[in-house]
Amino acid sequence: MLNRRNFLKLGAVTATTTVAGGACLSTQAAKDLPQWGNKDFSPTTGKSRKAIPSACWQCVTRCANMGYVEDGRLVKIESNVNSIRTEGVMCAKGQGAVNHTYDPDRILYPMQRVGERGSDEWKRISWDEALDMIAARMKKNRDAGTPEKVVYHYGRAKASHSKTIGGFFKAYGTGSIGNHTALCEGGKWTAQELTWGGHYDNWDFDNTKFVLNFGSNVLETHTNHIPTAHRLLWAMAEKGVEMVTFDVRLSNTAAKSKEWVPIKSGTDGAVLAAMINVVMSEGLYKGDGEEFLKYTRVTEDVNADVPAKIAAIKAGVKDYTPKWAEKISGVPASKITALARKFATTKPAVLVSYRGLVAHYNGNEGERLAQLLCAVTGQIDKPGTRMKAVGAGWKWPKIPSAKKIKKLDIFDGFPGQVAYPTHHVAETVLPMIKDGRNGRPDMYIMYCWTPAYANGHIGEAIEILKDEKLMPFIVSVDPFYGDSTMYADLILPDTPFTERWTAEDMVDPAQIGEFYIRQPFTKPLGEARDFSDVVFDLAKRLGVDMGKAKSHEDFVRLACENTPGVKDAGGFEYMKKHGVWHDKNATPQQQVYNRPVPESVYKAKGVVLDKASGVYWKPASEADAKKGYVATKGAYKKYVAQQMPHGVFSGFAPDKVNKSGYLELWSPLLKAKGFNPFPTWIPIPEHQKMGPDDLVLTTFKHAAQTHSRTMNCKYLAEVYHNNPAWINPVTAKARGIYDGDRIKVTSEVGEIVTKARVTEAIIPGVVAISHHCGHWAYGRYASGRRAPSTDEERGDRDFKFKWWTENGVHPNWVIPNSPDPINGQQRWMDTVVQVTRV
Amino acid sequence: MTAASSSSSNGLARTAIEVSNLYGFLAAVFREEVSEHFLAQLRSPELRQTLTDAGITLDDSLLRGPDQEVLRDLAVEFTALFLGPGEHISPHESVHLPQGGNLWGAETVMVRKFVNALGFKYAEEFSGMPDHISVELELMAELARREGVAWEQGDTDGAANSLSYQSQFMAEHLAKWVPTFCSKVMDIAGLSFYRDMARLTVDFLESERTDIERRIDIAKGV
Repeated sequence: MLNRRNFLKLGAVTATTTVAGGACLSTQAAKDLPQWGNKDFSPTTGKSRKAIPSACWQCVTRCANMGYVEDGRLVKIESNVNSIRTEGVMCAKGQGAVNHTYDPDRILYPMQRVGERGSDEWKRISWDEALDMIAARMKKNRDAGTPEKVVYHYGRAKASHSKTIGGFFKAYGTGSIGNHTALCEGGKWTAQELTWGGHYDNWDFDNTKFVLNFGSNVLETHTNHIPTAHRLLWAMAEKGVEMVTFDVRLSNTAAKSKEWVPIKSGTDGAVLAAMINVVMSEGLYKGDGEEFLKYTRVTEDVNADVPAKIAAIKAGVKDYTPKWAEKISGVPASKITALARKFATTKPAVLVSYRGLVAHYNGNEGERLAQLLCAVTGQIDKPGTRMKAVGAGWKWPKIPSAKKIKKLDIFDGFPGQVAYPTHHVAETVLPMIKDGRNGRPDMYIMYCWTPAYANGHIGEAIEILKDEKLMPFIVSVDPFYGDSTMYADLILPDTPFTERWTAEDMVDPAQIGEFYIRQPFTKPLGEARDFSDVVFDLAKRLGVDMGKAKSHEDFVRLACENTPGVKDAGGFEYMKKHGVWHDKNATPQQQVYNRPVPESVYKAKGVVLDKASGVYWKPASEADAKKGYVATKGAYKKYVAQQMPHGVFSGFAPDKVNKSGYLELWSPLLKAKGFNPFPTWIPIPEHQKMGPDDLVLTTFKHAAQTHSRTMNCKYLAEVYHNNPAWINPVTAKARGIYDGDRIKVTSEVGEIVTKARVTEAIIPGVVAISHHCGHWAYGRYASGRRAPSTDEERGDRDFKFKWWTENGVHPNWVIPNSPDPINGQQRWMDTVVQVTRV
Repeated sequence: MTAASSSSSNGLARTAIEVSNLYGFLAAVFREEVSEHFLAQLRSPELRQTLTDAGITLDDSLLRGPDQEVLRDLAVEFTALFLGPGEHISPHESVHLPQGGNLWGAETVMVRKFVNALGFKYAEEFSGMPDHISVELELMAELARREGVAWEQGDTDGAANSLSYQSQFMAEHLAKWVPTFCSKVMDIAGLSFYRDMARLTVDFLESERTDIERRIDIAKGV
């Protein structure tokens, strides 16, 4: 092929040649080119549709998007082509969100229950009546000195929504705020916090040469799905990057990989441990690994040198041979060895891990082993590897908290159950309310939260929600009539995200940070109101100070005007016009840990060295200094720098726990709670006691649905609405089960009847059932059941075209609420079940 | 990478203008028979040397033969290759796509829509079909020229906008059929001139496919 430089030289001398002939095109009349991308036209009239930049909220990825409005109706959603996160790519879920706005089972007015809980009998009330009712309960509890009995439990509230709604409840005086993170990815986050401080990792597919995947269905579903998945696809398609995926199931991610490595459920940690063994025994740590170990803690001695660290790791993994791991995982020893070598020697390579690794009893240790493999190979926190994530840093308007905040201790598991629930233990909130020893709410406000559907042990959850003695007053803030909303006493009609404002901040795989906003495509239907606006009204009724902002839109405006960069680009007006902004002069963030800290910082007044951890910190008192960094509550907030044998460095700063500034893989925090401080293989207790008839139930997600919030979207329900249980032919035959048979799946907490999908795309000994399906409410498309007080056709001509009659079965009926003992992650992949033909 | 500094902006402006010129040159090659003026240009020492540097050595006969004879040979070759009658290589996109095969197919309409959506028009004197290779190359020339102007003015958003159109048109049209078209020319052409021009076209487009994305990244500050 010709040299490009020579083409350009040709270009320089051919300027006069081009006038030789007559031109085909006339271009002078077009002064400026139209803006590229994000244009849409009515297919019937040809008229240009109004394009409004905004942001998705179908899943936590929250991609920047573009809504098209024609004659006041939202008709289409696509991606915002100017987003550096998505680069103009969007998933089916995001496009299907257009169905939320006009869901015929949407709630458009405040509703008060008039019959028994769950009886579907409601009367419409005014917003004033509804808010008076809530304010009266809040006043009563504040006057009684029990603001903590007002419990706000959300499933999804991020960025400015979290700031305004959470800010309101803290300003009122309750810290009884629950979330859903442990049901999703909390275990991954805590394990990362224990090791490198930040809770989220980014996989740099733009620069990698090899992807080693332990249990992430990254191409179908991920908490930063499209921004990472499209980069991975490009790396694979354009650059020939290979991915190897360990999974019990041939997910679409595994299917697109160079190789799917089937593995027994919950044994990924054993394979990781054996890979570390290979790296250490074959000296593959030499070079990059040795260099990185300077910043890694693997021994009690924080001043250990690299040879001592290597010796400690070798000792720690000496029994984890590939042959040992083969017996546990079913993965051939030769495969483990070959992949360990490949990962260690392909530079750079990225190690990917998610719920297939972490949603187990041993998930925390699995993730720590993953971090250790990255550390000993030096495949960490640099381009092409797993890196600490970067998001947008908005400068939020302040909402002053109450002087005293009280909270019910019901969010972090039963006493002694979970060691470091840094993202709470959502799955035990209802059981703890039932238990009652740590108090119960007087008012339980659910915001984008469906505890009956999202938790395990659904039967118990429904009983608790129905019991007025346990839950005297339940408020559901929801745009739709759903599986939990049906048990509320009061429903506030929330807006779907297509009618909201938000300033958004999700992680940017370009490692720069993208600022973006959500703005309404259309005005709210009926009397629906965004709850983040409603809290400003409640604040007025209660005399609660919400700071400068007067509404959520105002809060977003102030964030745009306060945040450097966004402000300089044109602030709120710029963001409304473009939707996204990033600093074009910024370089991707990487390798902050090895930045030397000047003496003036770590020897500043008030900064002391904690010798046990090597951490320079600023204790609040003499007593704290004496107690030491690790033992002082919240000491991580006072971290300054890390002393290492070769200097003082910024290190991997802590974020939620009192870890040192090393990549901490010998954890005094875990030791203090009775766990092995060094990453360790831990078998899953229930799996060690399985009988010949027992199987492991594992769960998964589909690309066209989020866990529980999208089945009401008709486009998406049409794509995926039924979830037969995957079962291997060998396992099925032993039970007399054939493809399509009705089967019963039984566990210690319940049973479900579903259909069998007999397939070799899953290993023997496991049965896999997806989430998303089996709604008992959530509207006609999700469950076949209309919301109360809605008619057959209400504004939806498409309903007559609904051709499917089955809505699948939800596996959570048979999955107990059972947290990882270290971090509280709900163990979605561990349940032991029996499967029989019906 | 960071956003373009003023010095790199100058370099990018120069690149875009050179790219634009080369698209224009190739558009002229395929648009019609070589004219007297064009032949004189080809014979100029500067262009000859640059072509040689680019690995293209023009035939002695083309360089030294009598003008009218050379022009006639080139015209006969151009007609046989691109016009017919009889078997020839139609220089229109819709003919060369696997799903196509017809003149004035769906792709022809797509190209015309693309051109019109940008506010451009087909010249009144142009009598060919809307997806002629010279139309497509001229369109890219104009987009690269506008990109160059944007870089000169420090308008990175404008450069990114023009590049986005180049990227889209390259992916949706040129890259889909021109390599096939050029490979047929290289197989059949009797005179080395059209073989060389076909090779130059393919290599240049291949190089531009990558470089457009590089320039977009710079313009967008990615």
